[in-house]
Amino acid sequence: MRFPRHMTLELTAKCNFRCPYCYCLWHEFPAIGKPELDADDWKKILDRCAADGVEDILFTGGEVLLRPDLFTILSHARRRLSRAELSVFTNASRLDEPLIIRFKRRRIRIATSLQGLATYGAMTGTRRKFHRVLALIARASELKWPIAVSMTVTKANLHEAVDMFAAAALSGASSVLAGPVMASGRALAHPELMLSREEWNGVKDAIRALPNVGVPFSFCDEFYCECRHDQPSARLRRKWRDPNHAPCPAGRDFGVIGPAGHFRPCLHLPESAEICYTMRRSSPRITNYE
Amino acid sequence: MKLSRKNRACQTAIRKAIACGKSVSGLLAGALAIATTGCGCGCSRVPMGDYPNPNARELEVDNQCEKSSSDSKSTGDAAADVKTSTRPQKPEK
Repeated sequence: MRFPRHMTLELTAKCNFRCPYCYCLWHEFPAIGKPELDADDWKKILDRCAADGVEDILFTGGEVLLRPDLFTILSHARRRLSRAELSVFTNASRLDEPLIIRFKRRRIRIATSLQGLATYGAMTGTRRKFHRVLALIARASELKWPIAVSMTVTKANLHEAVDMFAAAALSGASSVLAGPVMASGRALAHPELMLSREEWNGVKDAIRALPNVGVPFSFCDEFYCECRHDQPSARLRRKWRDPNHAPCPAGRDFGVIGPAGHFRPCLHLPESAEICYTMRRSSPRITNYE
Repeated sequence: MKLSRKNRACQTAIRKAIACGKSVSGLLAGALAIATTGCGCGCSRVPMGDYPNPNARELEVDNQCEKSSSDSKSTGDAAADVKTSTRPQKPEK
């Protein structure tokens, strides 16, 4: 098996936030999250990524900054994939200026999430406030190593979704990705947070109507994983031939390796395979696959 | 966290807007010019340097330093509050 060009490595399932909309699959399928690979295993996977010509890797979790050996892994990645685009996705709770500088020195991009403004505490399951995230975005921008921001819109923060976008843009986010809460992971236990299609379209229209401040933004339109909830059918294949609906890149251009080392073709598929349109094979545990 | 003056003012403007129940997106249009990048005399002139924030593109308003500070108050209460609280005013001549 050859790794796809775009890879996401979920380094840990541990997280210090308790976001009610978290899509991470180990909330449904704990075997994906443990036992976690150690740094040597991840180095082997990175060697495979280098050999297969992977072009970009996103390191995520859980919360990646909870891994004490994170920079051991990142340094190895930078050495072996000198031209690849490397990024980390963090909830910013442990991010600070020295870390931003360390990431910048290794040419590792940073992405974070802004889960709310007044609702930040409720949306993260903590007592934290949004202030620190915005200040970090501003500081990173001053250091000329800007942060990409993701925001998940739920029924609870719907009223301030446009303000979340504006706050991120004003603070100097390099780009903003907004999406509605998806029905997977922990979010399955919180159907009250799900948006209707009309509500989500309203958010998109409101963001598009804002003054152009030069911050690129995009929308993630999935409400649910079509492969999981609506197995590939003639209807889906017809839809994917529609130029307005690009085929899902899962398994072909995109792949995920979970904390326990299992390859998945998609962030939202538990394991694999038969139900994925573009990759019909069982998913091997990478450490046993060498 | 140590931030530049304009970014501190911007963060304060956002917090104030939220605390007052006002729209943060309202800051995008024009009030930000005064809150974050005014030259300090109360006008909305933008000191263009190597300011990395792409918002600066939006803020090339004018360069009339003689513009009175009262003009700027109409562009947004939250931002105007920030201006008066964080930036020393030039004494009137």
